[in-house]
Amino acid sequence: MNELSILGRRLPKVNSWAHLTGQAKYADDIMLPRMLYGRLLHSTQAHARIKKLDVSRALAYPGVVAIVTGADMPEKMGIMPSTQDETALAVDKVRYVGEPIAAVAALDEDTAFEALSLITVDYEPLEAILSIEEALAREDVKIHDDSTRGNVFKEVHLSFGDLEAGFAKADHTRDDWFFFEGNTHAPIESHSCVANGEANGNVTLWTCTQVPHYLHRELEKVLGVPRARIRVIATPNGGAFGGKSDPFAHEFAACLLALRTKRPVKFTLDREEVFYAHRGRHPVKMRLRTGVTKDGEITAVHFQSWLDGGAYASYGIATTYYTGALLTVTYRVPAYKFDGVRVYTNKPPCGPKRGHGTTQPRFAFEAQLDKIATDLGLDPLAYRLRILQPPNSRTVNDLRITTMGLGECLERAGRATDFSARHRQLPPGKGIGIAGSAYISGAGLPIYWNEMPHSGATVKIDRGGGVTVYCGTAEIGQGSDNMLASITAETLGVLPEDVHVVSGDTSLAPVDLGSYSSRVTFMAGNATKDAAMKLREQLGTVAAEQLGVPVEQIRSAYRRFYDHEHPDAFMSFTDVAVAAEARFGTLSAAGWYKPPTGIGGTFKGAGVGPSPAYSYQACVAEVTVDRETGVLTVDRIVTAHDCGRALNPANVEGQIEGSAYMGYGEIIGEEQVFRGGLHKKPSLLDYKIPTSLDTPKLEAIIVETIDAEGPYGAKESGEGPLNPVIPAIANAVYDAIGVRFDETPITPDKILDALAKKKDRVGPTGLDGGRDPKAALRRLTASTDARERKRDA
Amino acid sequence: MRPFDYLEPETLDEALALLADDPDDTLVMAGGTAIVILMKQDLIRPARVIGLRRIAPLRAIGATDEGLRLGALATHGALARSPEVRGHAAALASTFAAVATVRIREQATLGGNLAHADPAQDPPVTLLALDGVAVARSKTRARRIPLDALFVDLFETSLEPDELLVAVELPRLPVGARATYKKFLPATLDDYATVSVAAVVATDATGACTHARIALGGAGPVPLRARAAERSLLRRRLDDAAIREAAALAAAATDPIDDLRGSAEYKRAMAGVWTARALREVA
Repeated sequence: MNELSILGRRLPKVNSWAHLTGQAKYADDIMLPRMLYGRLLHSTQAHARIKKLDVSRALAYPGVVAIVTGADMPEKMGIMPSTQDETALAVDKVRYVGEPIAAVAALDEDTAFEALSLITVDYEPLEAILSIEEALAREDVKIHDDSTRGNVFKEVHLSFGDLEAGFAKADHTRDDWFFFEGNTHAPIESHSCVANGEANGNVTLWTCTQVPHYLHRELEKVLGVPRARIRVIATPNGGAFGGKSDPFAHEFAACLLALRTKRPVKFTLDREEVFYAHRGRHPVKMRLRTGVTKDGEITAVHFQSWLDGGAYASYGIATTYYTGALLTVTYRVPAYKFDGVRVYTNKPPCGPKRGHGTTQPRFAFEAQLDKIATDLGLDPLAYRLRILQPPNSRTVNDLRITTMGLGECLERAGRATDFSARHRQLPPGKGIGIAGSAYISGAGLPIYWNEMPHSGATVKIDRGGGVTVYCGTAEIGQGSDNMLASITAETLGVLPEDVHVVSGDTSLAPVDLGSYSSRVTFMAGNATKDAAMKLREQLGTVAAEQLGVPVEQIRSAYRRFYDHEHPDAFMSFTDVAVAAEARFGTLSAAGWYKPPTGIGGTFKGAGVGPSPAYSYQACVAEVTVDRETGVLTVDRIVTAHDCGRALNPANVEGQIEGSAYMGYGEIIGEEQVFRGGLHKKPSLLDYKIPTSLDTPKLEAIIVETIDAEGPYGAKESGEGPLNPVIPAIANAVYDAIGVRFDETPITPDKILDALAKKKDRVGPTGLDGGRDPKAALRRLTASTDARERKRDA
Repeated sequence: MRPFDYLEPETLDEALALLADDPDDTLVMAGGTAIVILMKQDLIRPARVIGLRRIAPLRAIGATDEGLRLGALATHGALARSPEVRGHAAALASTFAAVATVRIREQATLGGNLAHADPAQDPPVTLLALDGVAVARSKTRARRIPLDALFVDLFETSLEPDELLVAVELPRLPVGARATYKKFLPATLDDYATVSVAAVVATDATGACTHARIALGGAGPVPLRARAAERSLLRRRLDDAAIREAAALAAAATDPIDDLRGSAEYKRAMAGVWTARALREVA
C-alpha cells in the first residue's frame, strides 16, 4: 500500500478553474443550431379537474412549432417505482398551483411565453387540502382518486425492543410536540435542459439532474422509446441539494418535442417555476416521547411523525421512513417505536433536501435531549457523551454501525467554544447550545430492486500517460468529478490533472445511481478505486520486472513507479504504461461497488436506514437575542464532523460550512409557505436566503475515524453537517432567553411575542386545524391497532 | 415580457414632448430596476416605454443658493458617493448606500425610486425628513411638490401622466442639525426594510430641541412623517422620557400591513423601537 500522495491534501478541485472563470458549461449554456425554446403552462388552481384543454389558438400563433399536453404522455411515472403517481404533464386533474399542464416549443422564448396565454383551460375547481390535519380529516376530498385511505400517502409502524418495559423503567419521561416548517433548496442555477431529436429517432438530453440513470429509466417508460435510443447527459449542476433528483415535466416535454420536431428544444425554468418544481424539505409535525433513568440513560423512545407531502409521492416513501430510521444511531436506545404518516396536500410536491427526512426528527430529538439535560441538571455536552451508541455495534432497529466519531465531535466542538464553562453562564440575551447528529454514507439499497452494483467505473490509460475515468455520477458542485480524479490519481500514482473525467453520461459511463444520499465519494469512490487497482496491479507487475525488484517494493506516486527501498530507481508512469500495454494489451478496467449485505434488518421497512457507514457531527452555536426587536443573531457556528478520512480537507470543510449555512437559513427564516393554495413567496426577493453578509462566522473541525468500508477510509460529508446546526441554534436560544422553540423557523416576531407574553415555549401542542383532527387521529390509530393485531395474530 | 415600443429621447424637452403625445399608454423608465421586474412578471404591460438614460443633465448633483439639488437620473451609487450629498447630510449618503445591492444601486435612480412610490424604499424616508421637494416638469408647465404631497398611496404619486420628476431640492439644514437613517433588516441585509426611520434634530445651547423631523418607511401605504412625535420633542431636552414619548407617538402614527416582512403589530412595535434608537443616536 502506498503512502497517500494526493488524498488528504488541500488540492484545488480539478474543475474549480472552469467554474470560477465561467467556462463550465451548464445546461442553459448549450446552444444548438435550429434550437427551439420551450415554456410550460402551469395550473392556476390548487385542486381542479381539467374539463377542457384547448391549444389550437396557441398552435396557430406564428412562431409556435409544437405543443404537447398530458394526453401525449399519460404513462404514470415517479422516482420511486413503488409509488408512481405522477404524469409528465397533468392529465385530467391538477393538484397544485404551478403544476405543469402543457409545453410549447417555439422559435424564441418570448413567442413560447406569449403562446401560453392563448391556451385555454377550463377547470372544475375542487376543494383544496392544504394542511396535514385537513388531509387526515377530509377523507371525502381525495387528491388522488385511487388513494385507498383518504389522503394518506403512506403510513408506517415499526417497533423494536420492549417499549412498555422501557417506559416502565424510566424515572422521567418527556413528551413533546415539534413542528419543522417546509423549505426549499434555492440552488443558484434554475432547472434547465436541452433535448436533441436526432434523424435516426434517437434523443439526447442534456440536463442538470442529480440522477441521470433513474431519469433514463423514466424517459423510457413515459416516452415509450427504448433506453438504447435515449442518451442522458448530466450537465454540471449549479447547485442541487436534492432539488434535481426527480424526473421533471420539462425533461419529458423537451424530449417529446425534440422527437416530434427533429430539432433541439431547450427549457430553462424561471425562478418562480423552480419554487413550484420544489421537492424540498417536508413540513413535519412530530411527537417525541422519551423515557430516561435519573442519570439520563435512555430507556425507551416513541417517535411519531406526520409529513406534509404535497401533491405527489416523489421520494416520500423513503422520506417517511427516514424520519424514523436514524434516531437510533447516535445514542443508546434499547426500545424504540416509530409511527410515520405522510399525507397528500394541494401544494408542490416535497422530496429530498440535504439531510433527507432526518433533519426534522434530529431537530426534535436534540432539542428534547437538551430539555432532559435541563430537567436532570446535567451538562448537555457531558450528558450526550455518557449515552453514546458504541462503534462496531448494532442499533435496536438492526442498523450496523462501524466507525463512530460522535464523541470526538462533541468534545472538539465543545473545546473550541469552551462550551461547558459558558453554558448557562452567559449574560442575558446571549446563549450557547449544542447538538449532535448522524447521516448515511449512501443508502444500503437502490430505489428500484436489483442485485447489480450501485456504482460502476471504467478507467483507461492512454499511451501518453493520460488517464480517463468514466462513471455515471452527476457533478452537482459537491466535487464528485474531483473525487473520481483524485482517487484514480492516488491509486495509479499520477496527479489529478492527469485524469480526464467523463461523468453523468448514460451512453459513455457505467451506471452510478446518482448524486443523492451522500453516496458518491463512498460508492463511486470505491468503484473507481476498484477499477484503478486492477490497472495498478498490471502496471506494478511490469514496473517490478523492469526495475528488477520484488513487486511488493514497488510504489507509485507523482507520475513515477519506484522502488520503495531505493527511490532513485524509478520509471516514469508513461514508460510503465507503454510497457504494460505491450505486455497485457489495452489498459482498461472496470470496477464496481455494492454495499455489503447484512447491514440492516429483514423486517418490512428495513430497506431505509442501512448504510455501509455513518458520518457523525456535533455543532455548537452561539447566539445573541435582541429583546427589543426579537432579532436572533447567530454569532458563531462551530461544527465538528466525522468524515472517516478527509480525502480533500478543503473540500470537506467546504461541505461543513455550506451545510452550516443552509441549516442556519432554515432556522432563522426560510419557509415555503402558502396562502390558500398560492405560494406566498415564489421569488428570491421574498423567499429570503441568507447572503454572505448575513452568514455567521462558520468554523469547521474535521474528525477522522478511517472507516474500513470507505474508499481510503472516507465517509460522507455532504449532508450530515447540516443536521446538528438547527437544534444547536434552538438550544442556544433557550440558553439566551429561556424560551424553548419547538418549531422552525425562529423569527423575530415569534421571539418578541414569546417574550412579551412570558411564554417558556413556542411550538405545537398536538395536531390542530382541520375539522376534527383528533378524531382523524383516533381513526388512524384505531385502524393501525387493528392491523397490528391482525399481523400479530 | 410582452413587446412594446421603446423610445430614447436625447433631451428633456424631447422627452416631455414625446410624453405629451400619449401620456396614458406610456411608461417612463429611468434605471428600470423596478419596472423591468414588473414587466417580466406581466404585472404591467406598457404599449410604449420612454427611456431617459441619454438625458445626461438630469444626472447632475450640486449645491444651490437654497441648499442642494439632486438630479432625477442620479443613481443611488452616485448619490451615496457624492461629496455634496455627504456634506449636506451624511445620513442621506448612507441611506442611498443602504438600498439593495451594489448592482441595483449603480442602475437605480433617484427619480425612478420616488416615482415608483414603493413605501418600503429607503431614500423617500430620509428625503422626507430633510424637507425634500420634488421638481416636476411637463411640456407646458413646471411645479414644485413637497415630498409628503408627492406620495398619495401604494405605488401612486401626485404626478400627472404627462409630468416627469426632474429633480429633488433640499433646503439647507438648521445649524448643528443631526440626522440619521435606521433601516431595520431582521431577515437579510439585501432585503427591503421591515420598517425604517429617519430622524433629523437640532438643539439650542440649552439642549432644547429647535427642529425635529421623524419620517418612517414600511409603516404605511406611503412613507410618512410622524408629526405628533416631532411636535412632542420641540423645546424639550432630548432625554429618555422625551424620546420614549416621541417613539410611542411615532408608532401610533403608523398604518402598517401584514406582509412577509412582519405582521402589522410587529411593524408598529418596531416603528417605536427604531424611532427611539434613531433619536438616541442624534440626541
